[in-house]
Amino acid sequence: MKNITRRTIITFFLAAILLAGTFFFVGRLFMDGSSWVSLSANTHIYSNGILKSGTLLDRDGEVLASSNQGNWTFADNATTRRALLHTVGIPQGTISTGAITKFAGKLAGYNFITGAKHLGTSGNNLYLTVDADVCDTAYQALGNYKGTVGVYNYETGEIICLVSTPTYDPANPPAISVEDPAYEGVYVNRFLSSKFIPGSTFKLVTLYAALEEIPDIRSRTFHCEGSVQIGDQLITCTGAHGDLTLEQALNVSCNCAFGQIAEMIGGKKLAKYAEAAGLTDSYSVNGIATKASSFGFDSKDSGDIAWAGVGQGKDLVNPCAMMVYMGAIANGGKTAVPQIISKVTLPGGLKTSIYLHKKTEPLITEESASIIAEYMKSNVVNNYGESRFPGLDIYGKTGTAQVDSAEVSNSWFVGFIRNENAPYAFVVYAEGGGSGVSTAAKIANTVLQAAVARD
Amino acid sequence: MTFFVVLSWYLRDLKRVVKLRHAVAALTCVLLCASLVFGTITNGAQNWIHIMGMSIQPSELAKVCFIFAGAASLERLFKKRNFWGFMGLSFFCFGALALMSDFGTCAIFFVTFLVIAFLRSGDFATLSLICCSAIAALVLLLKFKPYIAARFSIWGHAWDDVSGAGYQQVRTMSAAASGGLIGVGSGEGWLHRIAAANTDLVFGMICEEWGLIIGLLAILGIASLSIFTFRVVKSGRSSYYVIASCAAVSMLVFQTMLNVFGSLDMFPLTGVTFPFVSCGGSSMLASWGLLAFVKAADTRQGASFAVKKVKFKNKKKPFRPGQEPQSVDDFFEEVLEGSDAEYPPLGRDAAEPEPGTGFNDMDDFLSDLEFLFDNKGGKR
Repeated sequence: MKNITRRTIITFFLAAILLAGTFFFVGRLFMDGSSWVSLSANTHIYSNGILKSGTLLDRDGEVLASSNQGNWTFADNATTRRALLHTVGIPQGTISTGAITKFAGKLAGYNFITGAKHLGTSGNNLYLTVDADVCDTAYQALGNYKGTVGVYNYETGEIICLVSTPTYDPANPPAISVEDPAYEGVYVNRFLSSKFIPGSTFKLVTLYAALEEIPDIRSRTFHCEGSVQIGDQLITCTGAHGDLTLEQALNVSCNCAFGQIAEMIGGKKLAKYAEAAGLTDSYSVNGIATKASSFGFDSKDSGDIAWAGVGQGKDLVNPCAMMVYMGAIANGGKTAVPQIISKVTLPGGLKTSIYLHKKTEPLITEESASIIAEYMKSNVVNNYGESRFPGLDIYGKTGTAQVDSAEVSNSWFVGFIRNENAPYAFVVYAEGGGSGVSTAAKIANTVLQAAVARD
Repeated sequence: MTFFVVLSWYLRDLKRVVKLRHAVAALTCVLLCASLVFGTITNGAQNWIHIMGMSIQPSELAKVCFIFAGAASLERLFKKRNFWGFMGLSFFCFGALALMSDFGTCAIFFVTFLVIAFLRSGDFATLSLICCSAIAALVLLLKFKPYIAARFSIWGHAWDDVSGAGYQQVRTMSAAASGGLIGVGSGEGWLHRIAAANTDLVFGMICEEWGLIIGLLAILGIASLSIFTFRVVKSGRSSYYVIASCAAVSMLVFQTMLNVFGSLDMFPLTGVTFPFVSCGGSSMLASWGLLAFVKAADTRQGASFAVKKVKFKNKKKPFRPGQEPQSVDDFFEEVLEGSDAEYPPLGRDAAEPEPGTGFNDMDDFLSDLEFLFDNKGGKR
């Protein structure tokens, strides 16, 4: 009997689980309540699936979109409307990563205390970190290319520029047919939600692995005859580069050299470094999950590994993750996690929430980061030409990604600039842009000049 | 309510209970069989019976009977026959509920079974063996019942499929968040338009319309029953009451867990009710019935009608946890006036209530709480 009485403690055990679980729920509610509220079935803040209230502004207070009882109006400037279509989103929710869709709870004025009931009358003002003028410039620089431009401050994480094309004017939406190649993936934010063949930009990851895994790699020389047989694959180069140091191999982006390096390192370790560089992670940009990159390092054929090591084959990289990696190189390890929300205020201007700047895990060792940065500078000086980037202390790497189905290659340019007032890392991707130097680097320069000028 | 009073009164005398235990065990089986034979399938589970325009869920009533009979059969000492009888009854229940595809209730029965078995034996080895076989059974179940497997596969990922398998969970979460701390107001919510909102998803509805504070208090109400039980069984009259009350509270607590966490995507959604809160007569009846077991273990003078009254009214209001309305107490006393005092009041392990057993005021309660936490540390 006494034993039984003592054993009744088990009811406490169950009650404790109940309370612990409840506590956990309250914690989740506190953290994620705003995104829960954003569910489009929530008629407290939506009517017929359209968000009832809220105003989106850029970092300088330029209105990007605003709702009055569910009637949405967009920016006055047509270029801004097109440039920021994917960042702002549309009320119908078709662009799933758009701010209108993702931050509906914040726009409507959700808070933990009163829930979806707004304290004021007309929703909150949500200031994004993007600069509408820089985005306009980026949109115009991209021209007719499908692609994306992303620029962010690697010290604070603020995304200054986020443009994805193709796009359209949300104030006058055209009839879009699914098959129309001109609108291929028009509802997808290419910066956040896509992944593409990285081409030579991925050599910055292979280089990282080489610096860590092969101690004397910097004193070694490589020989390029224009092509080399590795495993079952013939790795080809744009030309015969002859004898090269590691730095020179990166300058001319020699596939043969990096193919051999990749073979030396091996698929398993390369995969490890791609992961360490944060590429296989999905970042949370104020709750918007980015697409994780994927790689072809699990092949048994060393030829496949070599192609994967130079950023071809099955490699697919998310532009945002690549940009963050650039930030890590610039910062020598940890970098800021990208953010898109600057602040949220009541219509009167009172701030309702605080957005702390968060840092990533160390994505790269300090030593490797400084060597890679040095080589990226050398790329600009020795290969691309500093005159292409007047006034910018720029570090970069181009990529020319070949896609089997397309005749023209896709153009990449990734890197960062050092500038006390404008510490920006960037990624530019233009489908069918040809070589990285000719197209993407040019776009990057135009955008960065505008970004630096704004400060 | 009436059920509660009648059952509590009936439970006063252990002899009556023991006499009836075989009948009640049989009734458990009959109820479950009735579901199996006459039940209609709603939301995948065959647990409703429609009679003369009324729909009842016999498995709810079977819960009460299960504890009634289960605790009684174990009370009859360590006789092997009793033990196997209880095992047989339990496995019959699991089997019948599994056949009905009512796996939420099945889980509740299982946990209650474990609690009763633990109280009786205190043997962790046997219990873990039982748990292992239960897990094996679950794996098999997932293989053969795609409807259950689907619920398991969405578990934890409700937001990945907001219009499909996660439909109810994400709406519960969204509505619960919309209420804030104080709620949007009764009837002002939208979750009530979703199927099963007033039963399976009721926690979301409370949070939306009445606010998080009320929602948490509802959970706390159930959880506090465990403190009540722990306290009253100390002066326990008989191991029957101890086991029955403990099993009943465990059942209520676990059911609350399944309901709340299931609707919030922290458990697989199983479709059980929130005791005393969810809509539904059978569920309400069962909840009061279970509460009767708790009350029956209460031996405080003047506060309990479960024991024969020795002394009259205690002026101070007794501590009263959970959902019991205040007026109940007065009501009991009226019932007691006419009740039969001839029966011997206490069971086999009868003991006079020790002085100071009841929570006569808040201080008592608090000091008891302190004592209780000391106890938890294992010092005594």
